[in-house]
Amino acid sequence: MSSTGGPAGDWVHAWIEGQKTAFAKWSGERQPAGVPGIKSISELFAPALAAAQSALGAGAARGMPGSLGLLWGGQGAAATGAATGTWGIPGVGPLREQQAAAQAMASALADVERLSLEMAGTLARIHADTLDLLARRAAEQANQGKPVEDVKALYDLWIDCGEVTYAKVAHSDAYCRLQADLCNSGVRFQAAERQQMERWLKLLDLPTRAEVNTLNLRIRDLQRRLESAMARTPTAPKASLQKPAKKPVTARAAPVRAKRTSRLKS
Amino acid sequence: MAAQLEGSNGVPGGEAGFGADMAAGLEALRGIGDVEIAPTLKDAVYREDKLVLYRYRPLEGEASRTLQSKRIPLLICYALVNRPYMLDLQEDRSLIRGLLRRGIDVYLIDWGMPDGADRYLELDDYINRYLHHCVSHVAAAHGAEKVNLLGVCQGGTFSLCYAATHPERVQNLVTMVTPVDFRTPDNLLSKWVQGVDVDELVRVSGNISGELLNYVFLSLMPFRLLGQKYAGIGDIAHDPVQLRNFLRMEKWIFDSPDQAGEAFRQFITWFYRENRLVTDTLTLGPCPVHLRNVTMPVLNVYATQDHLVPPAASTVLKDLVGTPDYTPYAFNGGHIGIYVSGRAQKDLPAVISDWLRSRS
Repeated sequence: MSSTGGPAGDWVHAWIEGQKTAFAKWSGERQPAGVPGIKSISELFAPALAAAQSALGAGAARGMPGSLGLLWGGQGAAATGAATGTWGIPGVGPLREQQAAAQAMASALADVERLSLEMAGTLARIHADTLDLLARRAAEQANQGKPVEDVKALYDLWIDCGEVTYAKVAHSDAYCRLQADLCNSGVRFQAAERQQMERWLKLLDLPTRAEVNTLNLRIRDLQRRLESAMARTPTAPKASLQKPAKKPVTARAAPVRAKRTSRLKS
Repeated sequence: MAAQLEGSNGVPGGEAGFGADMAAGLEALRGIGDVEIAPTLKDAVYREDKLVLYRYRPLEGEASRTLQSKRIPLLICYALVNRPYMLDLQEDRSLIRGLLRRGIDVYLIDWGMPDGADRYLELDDYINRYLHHCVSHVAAAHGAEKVNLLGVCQGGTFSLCYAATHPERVQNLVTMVTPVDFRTPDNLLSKWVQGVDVDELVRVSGNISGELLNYVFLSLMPFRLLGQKYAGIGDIAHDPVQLRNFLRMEKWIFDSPDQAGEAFRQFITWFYRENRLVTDTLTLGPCPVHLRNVTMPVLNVYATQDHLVPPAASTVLKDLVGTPDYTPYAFNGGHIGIYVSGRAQKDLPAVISDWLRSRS
């Protein structure tokens, strides 16, 4: 044991306690739900939602042509509904599809927010447990006559403890489930966003990703049919679909030079 | 999650030493400038879509090429994840140079960088079309029926599939850090993907971004890979050579291609979730893939401290292939060290070339 103070030595003990205090301060001031210091996604989105509500309201929509005006008006109505607590009411009337889509997006966003907070809580626990393990390990080393001697050694020990703590959590079923759920909810939100965006693009007669995908699939199908047909034709050169190398191999062929990375920004 | 460093008065040696070292490291990086990668000369000999097949030039002039041409060439099939120049990162960290130095004629497949037009490429396209065409090209160029095939990581899995479906085209098969059993208990990546709705992920995202994959790989060991590695810059601040090595690795790690969506979906579903190689239920296009059809000699190189492909995920190969000539080689290191460590430079080219030569 160190000759002074805590079991791992005064400065190590003080550093760890300092970390705990700093972490508690950083995380503890704004967590009614017990989750450290993470601004909710709704909070983050609040200004944008307010702006959207203002811009997309019925007044703004009146200036838009035909169904586009209805659509944007519907979004405004949905945003207004969110603000006034009517968000959960099932859609009815000519805008019900738009409202349902907006509700699906809001639902997905709520899931992302809930799971993000849960993940943040999990990571916060890992951090706290890491500091506890660090304190124990530092004390053990001091008791064995090998005290942590400088900040670099303490940092490396903290890294070791962090990986041990993290691995224990990361391999758990609960964490795997949480991470997968978070990923899946993010994908649902992205899908809902894309659905909205594609509706707008169609109204403007602009190409959508779905249309490009359809074309890609048709090209792939044609390519396969062509390859299959050529393979059945005895006279067809087998590799005729393959592009020859742009630079044929000859004794004079210019070698490929070493690549250069872009200059590092300082 | 990281709190600011506080409350450290009275530290032996002072925090200033650690901090000053890091600052010196960062300052030294400022003056490093460009770093070169992939120094070995090579020629593009075949292209198809975004794929480029390279043939490396011999290190000791045309006499070596003449010597090489009499031997069965070695075709290297790298993974879709990350870029293949890891095998020729710099002059003194290059598996390829080590092989060339031993008179092996080396070809390398660069799969390229997929974009939105490639999202429906399937594993069947990569293995039975692209890889098959490369094998055919190399064999034809040498007037041979077969090539030696070396697969790395995911490229090793592809090579296994190819060797199982086209055994008549592969003289010898070398697999490096190659996953075969994707459901071993220590495979964290595998645990994480089990609950992910990969069908929906690919439907919505199209191709899977290299950046996303980088974050996933980093989060396997976040303290070391996002913290300690960079804190260590201070330790090499005085050494421009090591700083350049560090920067080359950084470039390689984050120079990550997107993954063609459909091929990614199939790889996660068929390998990571359904473990079809082990359960003998994999089919690629019209071709059933049975590892028992891998009847050519196999050298399986795995890393004992591999956190991405745990040894057990690779060594199971012995019980699945049909060849009586199976050679395991345990490299004492990790998934990255097997490419760039000093021991790897010294050992692996010799192990591979000796093994090939004894079977030529």
